[in-house]
Amino acid sequence: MKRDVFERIEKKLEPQDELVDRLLEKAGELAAQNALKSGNEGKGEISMENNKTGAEIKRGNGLAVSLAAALAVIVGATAIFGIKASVPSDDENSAAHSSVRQNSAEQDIVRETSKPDTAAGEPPETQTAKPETSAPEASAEETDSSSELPATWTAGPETPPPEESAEDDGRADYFYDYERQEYPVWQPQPFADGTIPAIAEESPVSEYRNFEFNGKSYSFACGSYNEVYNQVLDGIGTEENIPNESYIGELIGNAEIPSEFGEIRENEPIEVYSLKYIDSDYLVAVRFLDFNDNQRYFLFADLSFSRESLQQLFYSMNFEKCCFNGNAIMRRKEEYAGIEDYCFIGDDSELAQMILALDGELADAPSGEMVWQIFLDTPLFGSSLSFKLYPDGYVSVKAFGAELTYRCDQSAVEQIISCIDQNGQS
Amino acid sequence: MHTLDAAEFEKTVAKYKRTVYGIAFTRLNDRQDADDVFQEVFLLYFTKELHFENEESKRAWLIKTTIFKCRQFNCGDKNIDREKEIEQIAAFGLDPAEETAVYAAVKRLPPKYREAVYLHYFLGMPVIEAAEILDIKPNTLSMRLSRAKKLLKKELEGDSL
Repeated sequence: MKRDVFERIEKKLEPQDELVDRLLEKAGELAAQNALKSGNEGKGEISMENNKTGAEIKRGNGLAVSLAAALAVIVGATAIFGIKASVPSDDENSAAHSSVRQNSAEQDIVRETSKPDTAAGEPPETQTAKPETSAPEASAEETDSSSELPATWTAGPETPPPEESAEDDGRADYFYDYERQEYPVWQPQPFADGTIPAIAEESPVSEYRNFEFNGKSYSFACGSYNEVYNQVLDGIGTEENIPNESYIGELIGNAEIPSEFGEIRENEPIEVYSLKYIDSDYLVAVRFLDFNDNQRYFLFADLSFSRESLQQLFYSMNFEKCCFNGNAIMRRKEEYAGIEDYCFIGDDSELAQMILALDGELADAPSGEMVWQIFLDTPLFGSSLSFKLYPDGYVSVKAFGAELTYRCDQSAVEQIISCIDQNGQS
Repeated sequence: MHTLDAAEFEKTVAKYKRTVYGIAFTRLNDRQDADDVFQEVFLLYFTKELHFENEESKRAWLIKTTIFKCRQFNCGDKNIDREKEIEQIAAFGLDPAEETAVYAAVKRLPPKYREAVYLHYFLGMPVIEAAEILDIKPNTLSMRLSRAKKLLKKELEGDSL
């Protein structure tokens, strides 16, 4: 097949003449309405004060017959009956809203009810569409009802990890915000059981989150801002960061941290615990006491931790155990308008096996452009791990510490990429 | 107050109606939806205060607005009724043996691939320009095009692109 096939097809994809006529007619209606509103009829120009934009159409000498005819008809009709649906109202719905095809009233009602997005309104007057931004403007009233939800939630340590499929958690519900010309920051939707995944809040300070222990420097392992967690991170100091204390291992020792963790006692010696199944050189649990003598555990990681091979890293973090209790979340960077796009795989068992089988040597940096970034929820610790996949076979892993890159078998990485391509659902 | 010449509007519609409608119908899987987007885009153009430095800017705005409208219009990308799809495609007068099969295959691509293919292959837009309209890196677009070609090849069973 050659390119000219595409070009031939393109030449045939024309709208019907009736559609174009309706469009011009509608433009005439808008112009007429504008003229009525502004009272500038007969002055050689048609002034249009739409509900928000306030535009005007100057009547040109070469005004097309169809437009003029439509205009005359509409003006006449307006004078007699008053303009109804075709007239831009003062509400959020604009002229474009009323442009929906002129089918039966029932059809239009159904469409407008089922597809609020089609009600493309106009932006406030303060926003002027420019070619540079190029985004259409519309009311964003209908966008992302999830924004009303709290960004964080509180839950006890007993809260089980969500079992629902990832598609149900609302992350796919993106609606373009025409007023801001951006997609809204994703807000978590409640799971079917009523619990809501939390979003980590970036701390304004970080100094107090480090401590030295056994010659290593541990840092609070909270993840990055806006990462999705299954355990509360808001109001640190009042909630545990380790949902299940059964994973706390042996007491390793004591350390000093000038605590600023909310209700945690300041300058109280802390106890450092290992985590069951996980290398304590990498990750430890730190126990604080609050003013009510309650224990509060937080997760700290050695940021300089690394392993020579990916399999060793997996072993150190007990990767299988801490990851695949939940659903894998694929997120590809650099999507529409620079907005990250989420992709889900309902059954990630095949993906899990492929990732678990990955191995490779530690490398300095990846090459090429990242194809997929996989986030694997770790309900155990209320966080997620990131895997960046590169077509050359590089895999960058960011767990709780620094990001580590491994040079893996290229075909194995390609297989994972292919699996996501085939099974992922945006 | 913005002034838009009516004749200029008709001229613009005549010039870009195929571009806007082609994108809309390719991106959406329904002719009536495409009709709606077509009207919305041009009426936005008609009623907005837009200043274009040149014709290319205007074209880019119309294309980009169409894509955004389509995304907004059909976030979930409704299921395709194959029979209806072929019926709708045939209405354009495509050659049933080749063009219909190719276009049907394009329309079965994931939306983001569809957009990329349409801008690059159908409209003949250079990768850099198409990437700019889609707000992605040229490399990303190249990758999408590459994947789209693979999928099309698979769909068309060995037909070489």
